Amino acid sequence: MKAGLSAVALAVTGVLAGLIGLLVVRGASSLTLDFLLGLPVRAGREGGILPVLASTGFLVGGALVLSVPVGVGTALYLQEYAPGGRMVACVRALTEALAGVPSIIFGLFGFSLFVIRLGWGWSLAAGSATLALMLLPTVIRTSEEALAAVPRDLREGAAALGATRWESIRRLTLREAAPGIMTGVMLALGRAFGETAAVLLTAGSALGMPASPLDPGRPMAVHLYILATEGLSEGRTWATALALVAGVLAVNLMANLLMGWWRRR
Amino acid sequence: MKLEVEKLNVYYGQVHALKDATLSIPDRNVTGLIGPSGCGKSTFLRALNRMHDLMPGARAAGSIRLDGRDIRSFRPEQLRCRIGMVFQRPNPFPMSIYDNVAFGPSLLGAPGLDDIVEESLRRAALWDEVKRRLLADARALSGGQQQRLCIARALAMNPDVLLMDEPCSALDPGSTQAVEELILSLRSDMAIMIVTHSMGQARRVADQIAFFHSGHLLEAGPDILEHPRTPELIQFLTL
Repeated sequence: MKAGLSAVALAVTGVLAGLIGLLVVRGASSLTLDFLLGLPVRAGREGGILPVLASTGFLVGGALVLSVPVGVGTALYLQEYAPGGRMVACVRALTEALAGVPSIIFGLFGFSLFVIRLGWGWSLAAGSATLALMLLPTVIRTSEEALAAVPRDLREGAAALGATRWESIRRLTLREAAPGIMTGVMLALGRAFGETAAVLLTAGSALGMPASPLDPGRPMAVHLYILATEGLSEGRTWATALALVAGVLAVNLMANLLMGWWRRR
Repeated sequence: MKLEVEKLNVYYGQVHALKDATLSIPDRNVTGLIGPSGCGKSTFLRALNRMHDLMPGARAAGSIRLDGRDIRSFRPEQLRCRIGMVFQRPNPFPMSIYDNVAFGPSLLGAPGLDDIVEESLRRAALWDEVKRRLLADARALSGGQQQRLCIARALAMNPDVLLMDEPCSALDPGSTQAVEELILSLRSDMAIMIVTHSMGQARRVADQIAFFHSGHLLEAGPDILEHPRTPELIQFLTL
C-alpha cells in the first residue's frame, strides 16, 4: 500500500516537473530581457511582450484591489456580524454556486454590463471588474474559512477586556486570519493571472501599450492563446508561457515570505 | 454589596440553564461557586459580565446590580472593563507578553502602558519570570505562566470584580498553588468570584460559597461545606 502510494506521489511530482521542464526547455532560450522589455513587432511574431506584461499587471492588480476588500468585508459580515439564519445561508449558497460558474459566463456578463451597457468599451477597467466578480467567491469562501478557524477563546478573551466587536476583529481576528486570507488571495491571484476567456471578452486583445484604464489590453494568457492558435511564433509562445508560470510562482513565493515575516513579527 | 443578583434566569435557546438565582457578592471577598458539571455555575458567572450577549440564542433575565446600578445600563464593553474575567483554559493572544497585558489599556488609549504592564505582571506574580523577555511570544510560556498572564491581562484594566471560570483546571499542582496564593493576595483589592471543581480549593480561597444544582442556586454562605442543609449538597460532598 505504502509503496503504491509513494509511486503515485512520485508520478504526480514527475508530471509537474515534466511540465515545468518542458516550458524551460522550449521557452528559456527566447526568454531574454529584450523579450520581456521589448515592444511586439508584427503582431508578436517578433519583438517582446512589454505591453502584455503591463496589461497583465493592471488587470490582475485592479481585480485584486476591487475583489479583496469587498470579499473580505463580505466574509467578515457573514462570519462575525450576520445573525445567521436564512439570509446568510442564502448568500453562502449563492457564493458557492458562483464559484462554479464557468469563466466565459462571467466574461459574457462583464461584456454586456461593463463593455456595452456602461460604455467602457473593451478596456482594462472592464476586464478588471469582470475578473474581480469572478474572484469574489474564492476570496469570500477562503476568508470565511480563515475567520472561522480563529478560536472562540480569543474572541471571548478580547471581549472580556472590554474590546468592541470591531476592535477585537481589527486587533485579533484579522491578524490571526491573515495567513488564511492571504492564501485565498493567492489562489485568486493565480486564477486571475491565467484567466483567458473572461478577459478576452472584456479587455479585448489589443497589443498596444495601455495608457489608461479605458484602453484595451492583452494579458499574458490571451497573448499566449493568440500566439499559439495563430501559429505566430513557437519560441515566443513557449517563452510567454514560461514567463506566465514564473510570474505566478514568484508571486506565490513572495506571498509566502511575506506571511512568514508577518507571523514572526 | 459589590454585586447583587436577583432572580437571574439564563436560557440557551429552549434550554433553561439557570433558574431564579439570587446572590449577594460583597466587596474585597472571594466567592466560590461549586456544583456538579452542567449545574449552571459557569452560566451564572458569565451572566455577570454579559458574556451571554456574545452567544446567539443565549438570553438572560432578572436583575444584576453593580454598586447598585443595573448592569444593563452599561455598554457591555464598559461593564467588562470593570468586571474582568479569566477563563478555564489559558487563552493568551498570539502576540508578545507585553502586548497581551497592554491589550485592554491600549483600547482605552491609557497613557503609561509600560508602568501598567509592569505593575499588572507584578500583581500577578509573573514579573520576575518574564521581565527579561517581555517581547517574547506569550504562547511560549508554560500553562501556569499563561494563566497568570491572563490574570495580569485582566488586572491591567484595574477591575472592581474578577471572575474566574475554573482557572486551575488545566494547571499542574504547583501552578494551581501559585494561582490560589494570587487570589488571596488580590482579595484585599477587589471582589473575586471563582468557579471551581475542587472542594479543597473552595475551602482554601473562598470566604463564601454558593452551591448550584440542576440550574438552581440551592444554598450559599461562609460555612455551607461544614454545615450543608440541602440533601443535594450533602450528597455532592460525599461523592
